[in-house]
Amino acid sequence: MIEFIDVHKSFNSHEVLKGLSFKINRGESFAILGRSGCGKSVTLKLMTGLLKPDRGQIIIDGIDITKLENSGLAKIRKKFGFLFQSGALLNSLNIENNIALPLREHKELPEAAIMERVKEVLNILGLKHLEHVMPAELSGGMKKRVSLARAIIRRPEIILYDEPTTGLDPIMANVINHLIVDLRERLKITSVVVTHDMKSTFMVADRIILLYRGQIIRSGTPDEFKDSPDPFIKQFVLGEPKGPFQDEDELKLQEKLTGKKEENN
Amino acid sequence: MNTSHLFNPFKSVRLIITGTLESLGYNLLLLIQSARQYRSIPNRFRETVNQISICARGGFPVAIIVAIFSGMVLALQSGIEMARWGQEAQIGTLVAATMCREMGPVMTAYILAGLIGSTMAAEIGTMKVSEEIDALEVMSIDPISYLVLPRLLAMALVCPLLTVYTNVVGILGGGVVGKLVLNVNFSLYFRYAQEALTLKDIYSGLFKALIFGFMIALVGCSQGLRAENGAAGVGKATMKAVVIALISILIFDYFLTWLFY
Repeated sequence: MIEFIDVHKSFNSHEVLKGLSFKINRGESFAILGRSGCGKSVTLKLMTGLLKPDRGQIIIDGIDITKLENSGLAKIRKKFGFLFQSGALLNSLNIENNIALPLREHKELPEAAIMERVKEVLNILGLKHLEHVMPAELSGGMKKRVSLARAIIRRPEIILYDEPTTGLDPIMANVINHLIVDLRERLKITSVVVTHDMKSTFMVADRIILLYRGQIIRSGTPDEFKDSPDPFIKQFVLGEPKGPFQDEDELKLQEKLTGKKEENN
Repeated sequence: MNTSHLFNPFKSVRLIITGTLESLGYNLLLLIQSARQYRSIPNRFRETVNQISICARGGFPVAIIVAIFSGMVLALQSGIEMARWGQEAQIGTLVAATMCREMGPVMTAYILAGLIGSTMAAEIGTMKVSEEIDALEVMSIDPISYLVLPRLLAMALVCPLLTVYTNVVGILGGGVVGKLVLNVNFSLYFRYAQEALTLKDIYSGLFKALIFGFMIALVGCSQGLRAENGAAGVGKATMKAVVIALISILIFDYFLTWLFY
């Protein structure tokens, strides 16, 4: 259903993804793990065509989206719901208008049906009576839930979650995890979750990949990750400061300095 | 010896030229992409009205103060000189022609560039860095149709309308100074003002205002859409939107004047 084939992506001289290849099956819950700056969010943006890869193919339901223009991408994007890390709610619109926005814009339903659908998703996500509240008045957890409501309003086939539990207290993080599992079971959708949160990963994922230096270094099921003696997995799962992972920021700085040295020479 | 920290005039000139060309190209592309969205104008009616209200409410109070004092200064400066030759009654001619041809459209554009162009850049820039624009794209909503088009249309309408108002208030301000300081009575002042103005003075000024309005919105939106690196990036985009708009207004003003006269 979603396939990355040898995908490369650079920003300026820094190569973030170096030949990424994986396949996600329909209905699967797929987690992408890795340290900050390793290209997890970039992978999600490539999946929806928000970024174009330098090389490689990204196949969504048999269509290579790297070759599509805007109109083609718009059709493919209808399959997706996206929960952004910050929520990305439009601050000028109240909650009801934020959630109803994609339906109203595409005139997919009459207004009465849109309102009914908005009420339905607000109920699913436990956000009753918040229709007229502005995003600025909501807490971080509420914003994420409203953003999730907007992501599912068009009944997408695939939902992408960019660090869904980051910045939330443990209780709210657990609420979001339960929502992800609940939505997957209720709506039978494919989920792709980018996260650092191991508890969340073990709760929601069927399959996991671990990224490091723009490549997949390990993959497996949650159970395989939990009991793995592999030093990379162990360090990441337990969050140990010492191990085979090097600091990505430090690496970037080193690359920058090396690049400058070469330029000067 | 590392000399990279020293000022290199050639590098600076190269960066300015490439930056300007890149910016021009982006703005042109944005204009073409916005024009291609003409079919979505009826769908954007509500947001366009909202933007008109924002632009007018923002520009109106400042324009009244700037226009009245501009007309007064113009009348005072020219009147003092003209009085030496006994021609102070002619200030009506001078104030009316200057306001309608030049000062009205340029001052209005300057006010709108500072107030509204900067607001557009900051608002869209904040949306860009907080991933709201990405969210629109994922929902298959074209940000140009949703954000840029209503702003372009609103400014193209508000800038000429505000210019008419600025012209009228400026001429009135000149009349007040004529009466109180130079002892030129109102009827004489307005008769000269009316006789001085041709249809061309009025429509050329309004045409300028239309172009300036488009330009301010285009620059504000394009800087906002290109903002990156968080709050600092939004601040930089806002500052650039104002500076580029102010410079462009002057350059376009020269060529439009040359075209008409």
